[in-house]
Amino acid sequence: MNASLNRIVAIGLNTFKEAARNRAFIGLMVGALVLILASLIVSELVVFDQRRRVVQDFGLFFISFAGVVISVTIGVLLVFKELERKTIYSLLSKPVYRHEFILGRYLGMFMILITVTVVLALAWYSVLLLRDVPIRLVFFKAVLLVLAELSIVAAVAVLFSSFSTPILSGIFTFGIYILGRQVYYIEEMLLARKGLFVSAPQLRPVGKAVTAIFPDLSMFDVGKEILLEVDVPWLYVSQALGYGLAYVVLLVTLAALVFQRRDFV
Amino acid sequence: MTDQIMVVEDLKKTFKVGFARKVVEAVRGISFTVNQGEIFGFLGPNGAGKTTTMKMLMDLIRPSSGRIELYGAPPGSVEARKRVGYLPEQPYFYDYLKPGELVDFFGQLYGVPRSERVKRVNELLTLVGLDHARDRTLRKFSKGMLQRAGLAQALIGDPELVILDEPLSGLDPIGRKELKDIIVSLKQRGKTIFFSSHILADIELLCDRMAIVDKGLLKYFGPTSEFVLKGQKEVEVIASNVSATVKEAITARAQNVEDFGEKVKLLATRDEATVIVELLVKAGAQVDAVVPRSESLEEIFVRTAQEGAA
Repeated sequence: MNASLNRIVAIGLNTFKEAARNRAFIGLMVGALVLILASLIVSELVVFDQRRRVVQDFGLFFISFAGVVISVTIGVLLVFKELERKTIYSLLSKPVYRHEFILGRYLGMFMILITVTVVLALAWYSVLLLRDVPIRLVFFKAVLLVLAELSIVAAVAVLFSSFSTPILSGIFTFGIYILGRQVYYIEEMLLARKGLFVSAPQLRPVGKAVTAIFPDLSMFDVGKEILLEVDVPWLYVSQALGYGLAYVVLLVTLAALVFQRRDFV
Repeated sequence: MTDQIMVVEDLKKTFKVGFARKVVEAVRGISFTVNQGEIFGFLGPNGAGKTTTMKMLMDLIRPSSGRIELYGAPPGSVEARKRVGYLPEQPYFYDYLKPGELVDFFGQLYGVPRSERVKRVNELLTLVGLDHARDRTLRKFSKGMLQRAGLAQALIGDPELVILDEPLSGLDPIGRKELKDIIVSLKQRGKTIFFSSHILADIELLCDRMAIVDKGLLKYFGPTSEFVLKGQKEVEVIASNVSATVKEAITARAQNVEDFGEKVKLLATRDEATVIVELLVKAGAQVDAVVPRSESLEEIFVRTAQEGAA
């Protein structure tokens, strides 16, 4: 068990090193940092009592947006690049199980996401302080939930990357992200007494299938609560984290199962 | 036999390729064994199924049927692969790493302790001649340098069996000589070496036993010396100070005699060449050269294919 964990960690650290030395990744990080800092300038353009709102909204949005872009772009290449560059031959010929490879790559991706969210969150908190917004616990909870959402998006990307091309994987992953953001609204529509599913009842099974299969990513967005200065209870945060973890485990397990059957010609 | 560390039995692999899912039989029933401590050559022309077979040995490709055992375990077993080091054909590595980082990373996968890894990485980089390139990332490496880095990563786990896929390709003459020396030194340290090549001379020089594959079929499996002897059609003899009487005697035994006055060059079968050399020595002639003429790889394949058809 310990040896297996050491191998997973070694692969994870190598994955992290790969991203850290990748100019495109560093460029994305710098771009996101600039955008978060730019919210200071944008906030100058609005009326005084809206300035707090701008820096709160922009900061959280850019952490999430940059995180999704990084999750999709790096995630879809995570396994594919090993195959394309044929580095997989050297790696899988070592005393490594295939599922350890997938777990290691995902662990590396998770390390990247932690780095991204921590660095961008620090930039956001700095901007908040510069705008005299007191740092509340809910800001930390919000970042934690963003990290959970990004972890699911990355797991989707890894799953597609284990059998598909980067372009298709990117389209599918981004599609699932968009759909995941709509799951809550689809659930609401299914419960409503009027609307799409009432006027077209034949679509109800589709709606039900979407809500049953796809993760409800709006669960991880507490932007409204921040705006309304409402606290997000720890119980809610822990439930959301558990929900995210369950999806990650399911998706990474599926990726490992798909990868297990592959030939590396 | 207890010293058989690799057993390959009736190994087959078919691929479905293209839109029409056309079935291609890459390996069509190969069987051989590799013994502890030997250098085993895996010879065949390009496209013979060598790399597919070697990837099956490393569990990178799953056989359609047949059996592979490495140290009594299936090739997917982590325990078996701890005892194996593998250099893929045309090695590709993480080009953002330096050679030391690459070898250290793979050492971690073998479970080599940190202090031991540091020592081994240094030793291996020296062994493969990459001391001068320690601070360069692999993306700045030439093909030959990558091959050397590949050999170092194959040896980091101090494996008992080293599997090398076309290790000599891409190397310059000095590099080839150095790699051959390393292969021989590994054998002297008790390692088993299994390596593929499409060049008969490389196999002939280094290998105790060999297998030849062509079009996915096994054409020969056995001692290299036996195969080379079978492949020697004739021997070329060059001699000086040959008297007319001796010329007459040897012409009757030789197949092709070229007379350059005092010097004679002739071709004869192995047995006849032995008699001719004896005659020349007894008559006081000077034997300048006795050169065995081996069949080229192409000729061997043509012959084995014809033998198979007959």
